Amino acid sequence: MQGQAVQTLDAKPVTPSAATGSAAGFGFIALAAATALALVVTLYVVAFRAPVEATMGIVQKIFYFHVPAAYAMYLGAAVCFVGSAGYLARGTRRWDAVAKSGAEVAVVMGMMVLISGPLWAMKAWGVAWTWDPRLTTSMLSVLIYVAYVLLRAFTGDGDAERKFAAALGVLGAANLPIIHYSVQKWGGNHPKVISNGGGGLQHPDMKLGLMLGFLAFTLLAITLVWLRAKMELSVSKLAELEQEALEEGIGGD
Amino acid sequence: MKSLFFMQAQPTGTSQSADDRSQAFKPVQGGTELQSGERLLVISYMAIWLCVVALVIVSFRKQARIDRRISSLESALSRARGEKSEAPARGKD
Repeated sequence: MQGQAVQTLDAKPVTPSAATGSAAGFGFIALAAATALALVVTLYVVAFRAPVEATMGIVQKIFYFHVPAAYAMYLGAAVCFVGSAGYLARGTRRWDAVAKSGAEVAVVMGMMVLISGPLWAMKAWGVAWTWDPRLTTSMLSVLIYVAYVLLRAFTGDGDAERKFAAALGVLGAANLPIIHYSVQKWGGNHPKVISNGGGGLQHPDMKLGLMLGFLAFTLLAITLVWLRAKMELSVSKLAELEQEALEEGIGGD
Repeated sequence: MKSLFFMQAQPTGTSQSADDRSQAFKPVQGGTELQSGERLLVISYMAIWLCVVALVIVSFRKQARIDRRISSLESALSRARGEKSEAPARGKD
């Protein structure tokens, strides 16, 4: 019964009309331009206005992109959770495209976090990696979304595979609050500068740099989700056209 | 007494035997810098932008390839449907 519902909903055309398509195209270009501008302004503030930190030195400036990247990973994972729940409830390709694009963005942002964090730690701690609760849970979360992306890449694109991936997308989100509260619950080496008990950023330009970083990475995450979701919908449309072409008895090339 | 005198005469810190070597490493605040903060910062920023640029380039290239395939399939389908609709009309003539 559910399979029939999926088939019916899947049969709906995934391409928007020409008018909505051009409006969406303009919206995407405007969003991409705003993202690029926000990233450039953030880089300028971090490089030229935010002061060097007293004990760690210039390597502390990794923080202005490391923390927003971690936040953007949460955003990607949340989008994956919503898309996956939507796919399980409705079964449409649009929800599936949202879930997949969210997982891909979570992986990219997670890679940024897992690369920039150890580089900072090499200077601040003297070691690149420790099995600190936040580091461990963050890596676990990235691995969950890597598993999601690999599952989608190397298995078929049938309803069963999409449902399995959607279940992973829903369950994978359970780790996000654990990452956030791991520092408070289990201690560890990871700094908690801006969370409860932290000393905060001591200079207004440090705060400005971080706020701009959050803004830039929010826009970047939305842009990347949009870009990847659009591509997924195009892949779905291509699959429909290939099916039609097969029924008409043409190769298409 | 003789042994005490002998101990005082020992030179300090000039010739150490193998047993006198330190057997533990003690950390010190503000010691000699081993990692260049500037280099780590540059590597980190390069890696971050590489991740973003790679995803954007791969996405745009794949999108362009899909769009080309969609347009070729659409034109092939419309040609095939046009031929099918013309064939019965010619049959009636």
